[in-house]
Amino acid sequence: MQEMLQEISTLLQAGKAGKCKKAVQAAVDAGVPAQTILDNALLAGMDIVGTKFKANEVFVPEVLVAARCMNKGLEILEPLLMESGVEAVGTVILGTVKGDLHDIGKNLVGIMMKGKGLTVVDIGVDVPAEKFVEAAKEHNAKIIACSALLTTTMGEMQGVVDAVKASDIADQVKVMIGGAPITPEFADKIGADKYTVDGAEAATVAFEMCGQ
Amino acid sequence: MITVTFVENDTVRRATIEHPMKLSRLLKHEHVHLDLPCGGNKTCGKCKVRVTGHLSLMSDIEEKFLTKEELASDYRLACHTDVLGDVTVYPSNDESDILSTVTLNRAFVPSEGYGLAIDIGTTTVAMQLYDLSSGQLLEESLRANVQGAYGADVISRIHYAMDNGHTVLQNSIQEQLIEMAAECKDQAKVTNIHKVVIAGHTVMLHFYEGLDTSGIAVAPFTPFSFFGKESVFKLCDNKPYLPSCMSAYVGADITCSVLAADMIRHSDRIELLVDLGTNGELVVNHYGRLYCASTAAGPAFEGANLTHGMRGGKGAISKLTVVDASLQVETIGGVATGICGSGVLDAVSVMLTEKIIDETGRIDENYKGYGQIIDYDGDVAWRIPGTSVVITQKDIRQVQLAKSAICAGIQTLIEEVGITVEDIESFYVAGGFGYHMNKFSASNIGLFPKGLEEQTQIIGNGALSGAIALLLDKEAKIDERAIIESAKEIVLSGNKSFSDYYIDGMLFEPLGD
Repeated sequence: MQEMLQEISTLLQAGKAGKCKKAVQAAVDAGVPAQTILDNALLAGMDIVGTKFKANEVFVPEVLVAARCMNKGLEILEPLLMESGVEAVGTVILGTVKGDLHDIGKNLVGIMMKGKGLTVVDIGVDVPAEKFVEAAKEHNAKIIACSALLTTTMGEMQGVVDAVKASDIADQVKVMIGGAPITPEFADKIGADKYTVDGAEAATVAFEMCGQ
Repeated sequence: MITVTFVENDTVRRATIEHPMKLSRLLKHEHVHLDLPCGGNKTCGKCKVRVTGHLSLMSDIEEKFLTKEELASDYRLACHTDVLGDVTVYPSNDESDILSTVTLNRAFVPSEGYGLAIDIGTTTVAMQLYDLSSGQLLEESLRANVQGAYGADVISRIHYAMDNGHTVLQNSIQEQLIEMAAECKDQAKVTNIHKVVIAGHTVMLHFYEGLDTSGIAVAPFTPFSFFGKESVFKLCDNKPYLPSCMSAYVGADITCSVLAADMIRHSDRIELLVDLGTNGELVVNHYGRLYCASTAAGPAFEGANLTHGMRGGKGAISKLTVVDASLQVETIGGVATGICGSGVLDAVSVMLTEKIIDETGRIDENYKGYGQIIDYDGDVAWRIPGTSVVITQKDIRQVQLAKSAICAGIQTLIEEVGITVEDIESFYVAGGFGYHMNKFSASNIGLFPKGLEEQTQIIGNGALSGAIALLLDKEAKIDERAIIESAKEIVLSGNKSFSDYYIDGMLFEPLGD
């Protein structure tokens, strides 16, 4: 079993989506529990990629192709995880704020969060504050995660924080923010609950915020 | 009363200020040029100045931005530091002194008097004084755009304007043009100006006219004006003509580049123009129909994000080549203190060819050969032989992002037009950075798609060239109108093809599965 898991992790790190998916299926067929494959192969592999990325040893595209493998693996594992009664950790509404069209970083955050067992509802780019709140209500979300890459759209995040505070879900929903120009100081200033520096941290923090 | 002493080369001058203030504000006040690439947001760490005396204590955040050598040499970050009492400042002199290369293809129609052609570049402002009766260039002035103190790129400056109003940005550029014009007139012994043309990015022209730019920075990217009319303000007793902009991000400077390359008249050809510089604009001529796009590649090649990046001026490494198994390094005027756009391009190309970096862009820590692999403040770096200038791993990543944006922009634009690289008959490269550019380095690292080397024509400052055409040739306005009527913008942000090409092009080899 160890070998199978190692193989999946290696293929993920190399970004071989097709082969990785096959390897995940093979492990499932061999009776390896879905949770084990997720934690010890897929997430373990992403973890290594994430560490190397922080050390500038690998670059954005390599993280993205590894994430693609993760996604393919999750396609197989998600139904199995639900079947085995694994409780959903929580739902996150994910989007890029109004006026901003950047999505690569946001997509990465989504994949990492799914890997942690979170249910991610990606509402896209150029999203006005009210829409974040609406989506959170509709999906009974615990977290709203918003991204901005332009300094000129950062102000929108204040709008999201305010809209949540003014709504009737103010006590149920936490707001987390991220993006290149965002800083922890900015998060404090606008009253956001959390700032995270990248997809991996966002997933970990979101997981914790859902009381796990 | 606080005394501030400025020591510059051999000159010492003194100024007094009433009360303590931020060092960056003091420098602006005293007309000491210092670029603030992030516009004073305290996030880029590039506003380094040597200063001693009664200053605020250094914060941890500030300390992280400075190297051990800088800390030992009294460097501070201007936007983090307060001047509390008497201080001595040692400004660095970094004015670029390269004359603009212009391309003039057009018929010249004599008229009376003297004229000014101006290009307000995001990074550099270029002005040329012409004798309108002979078409002769009399004088030139080239200066770093003073707005650099409010941000290195258009987005930072718009952000500054949104927070602080547009007046400061407007006044600063208007004053700069007045000063530069006075300088040109003095040197040429000319008293009166009869005609002025000012080209620039859409945002630059907005700032000049004092117009609101907040619509430009956010989707759906809407300018207040597309210009193509006279300025409201006079310069040298004339109302300058501001040529038309094609969109929020493809401005009058590009219209002028297209004019200079004569593309609108080439209705029997397929051509591509790229304007490299702080922004990254593209124009395709498809049998007389024009398509334009902006990739907003970022200022990587202008130096704002690179460890030793600088504008093309004194002290900048501008060229690297391997000749007979020996690495030749060329520096503009003297001792190398940094590296400019063309130098960065060559350096990365050499690093790739010599396997100092692998196809993913990772520096080989065990490389032995030209120069040295060192640790630069915690990051692995390659030191260019014979200099103290380094290219760090982070720098390589910045270059990868920028070159991929341009290449992806080209690939997406030609795909949308329905042509391929092979169809392109002329490839015009404009921009201050483009002037020194080595086209083989460009294609080697994937800044441009391979196969365009033979078709490449470096046209230098296209924006200025087009402004000159508008100054000297009455017919030019007709072409300008034709360009605007024909041009269709392809928006790249949100375009899936662009996103895919962008990610695929980030390494130095295609991404496989």
